[in-house]
Amino acid sequence: MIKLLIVDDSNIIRRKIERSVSVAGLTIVGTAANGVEAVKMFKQHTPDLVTMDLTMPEMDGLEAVTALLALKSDTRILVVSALADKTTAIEAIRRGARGFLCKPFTDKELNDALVELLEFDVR
Amino acid sequence: MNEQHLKIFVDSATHYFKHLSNEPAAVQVPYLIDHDESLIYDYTGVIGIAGLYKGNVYFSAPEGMMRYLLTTQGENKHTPEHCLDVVGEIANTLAGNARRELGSEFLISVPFKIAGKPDMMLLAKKSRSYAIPIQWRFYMAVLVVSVEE
Repeated sequence: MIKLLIVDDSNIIRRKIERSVSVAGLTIVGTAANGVEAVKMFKQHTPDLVTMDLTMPEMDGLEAVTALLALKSDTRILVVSALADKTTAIEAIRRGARGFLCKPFTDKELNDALVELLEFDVR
Repeated sequence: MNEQHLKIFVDSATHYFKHLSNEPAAVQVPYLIDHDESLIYDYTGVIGIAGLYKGNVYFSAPEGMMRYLLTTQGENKHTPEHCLDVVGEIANTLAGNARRELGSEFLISVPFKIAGKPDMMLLAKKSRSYAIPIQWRFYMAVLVVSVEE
């Protein structure tokens, strides 16, 4: 079983990801509305995969990427954000995120991005 | 603020609808409004602009449109918080595309969202603002671009 944690301050985006994920073997273990909650949930569930929003209160997504990877460096993090500028994407990747999905996204785009992330280590 | 700048905001808003629903939104004829005119629906997402240009850009929509967008995304909960989340995501898209396309002359704020109708929005005083009606399915929303040098 591959464990997925969803992090986004938008309730509808969290629920949309929950509904949309249809990758075999992937189980959603929790959702968090900001970076602080994400760290707490991460410690409880040690997920393998995280979808991470960037613009969030309390602790933003970039800080959360750093915090989660400090806890478990092989965690695969997919940044899911409307901030599609090159600088933000590069910063997310520099901090250790392994993928970037731009909002708004379709179910297929989400699942394709998750599959790509799962195959990341195999390539 | 030139036509190309306006087009970036309009394209961002219409792209959101097309991408989520496969049904493009129709842009109606834009018009100018004064700083003391109130043009606002039930839910509004606002981004602030600073730097060489100053002002704000907001997308305001009736509750019906927000509910229909929720349904389109498979969401069966239609609370005011959910409607706010939708308009917040539209504002996020506007902010994200603006940061990517407009360059460093525009400093784009984190979006904020408003439920209900404030007495008025703070619009640019030195120049008139652009109001761009956007129709999606049966609903009419408005994109207001209020920026001055």
